[in-house]
Amino acid sequence: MTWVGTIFQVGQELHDTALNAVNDDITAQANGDTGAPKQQVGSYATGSITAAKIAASAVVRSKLATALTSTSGSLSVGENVGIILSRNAFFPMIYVSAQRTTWRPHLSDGGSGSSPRFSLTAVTAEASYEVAYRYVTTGS
Amino acid sequence: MTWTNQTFTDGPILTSTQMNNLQADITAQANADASAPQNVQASIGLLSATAISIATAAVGTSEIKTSLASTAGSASLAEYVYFTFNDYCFFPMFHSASPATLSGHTTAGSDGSQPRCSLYFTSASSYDVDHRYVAAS
Repeated sequence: MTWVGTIFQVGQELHDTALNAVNDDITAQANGDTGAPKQQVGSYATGSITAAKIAASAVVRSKLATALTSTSGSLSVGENVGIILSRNAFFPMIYVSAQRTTWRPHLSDGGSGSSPRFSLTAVTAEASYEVAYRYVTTGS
Repeated sequence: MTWTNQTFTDGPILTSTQMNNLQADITAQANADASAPQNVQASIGLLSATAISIATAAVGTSEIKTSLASTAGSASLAEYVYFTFNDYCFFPMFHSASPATLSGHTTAGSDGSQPRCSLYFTSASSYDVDHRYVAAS
């Protein structure tokens, strides 16, 4: 079926062909037929696109709202620093200037996986560190 | 409201019922009423699904396109093995046949898009580190 897009003129006699074309255009639009208008952003009700309407594997990196953040500092020998990541954090880039700067559980309980955290300890030598990571934001 | 799918024939006087049904079918289609044609993929404009129109928690594991990567090997006593993961990396599976310590990487990545860390082996051991990440395309 092809989109017809009938335009009626004043005084024109209405015939079945024109009226059936109007009726068929509803289906042509839904079918995405050539020339038919596409559904635009504002035509979707809030929350109308559910999991059942999203194709499998349709969400790739560019579809996720993310941000990058980082924290850095220095540790003396034996010193421990707690690192608290944002909710929905991906695995971080953990940089240390000296080996044996280990990462361990955080000393404070975050309560749930919504508050991911760990700690860094400089075991044998002072070290600078940087922890940088990406996380999913609340979107727009 | 039900989809009526009007069929017009030439000659008869148009009735208000016919025309109102035609008008109502536009709404019936938008409302996904019984028998109304559903919008297929080709009818959807590019980027028309926004965060507002996507239902809460609609994006689950099956909607996210991911890939798996892994690295495995053997390490000797007191050896460091360094790992750089893919961007958008979920928390990895760290396996070591003998105890090992998780440490930082000694080469900084540019930012959080280059996740990385290391393992320090306190005894000779085999290891396997696997991770899942969100695919770029």
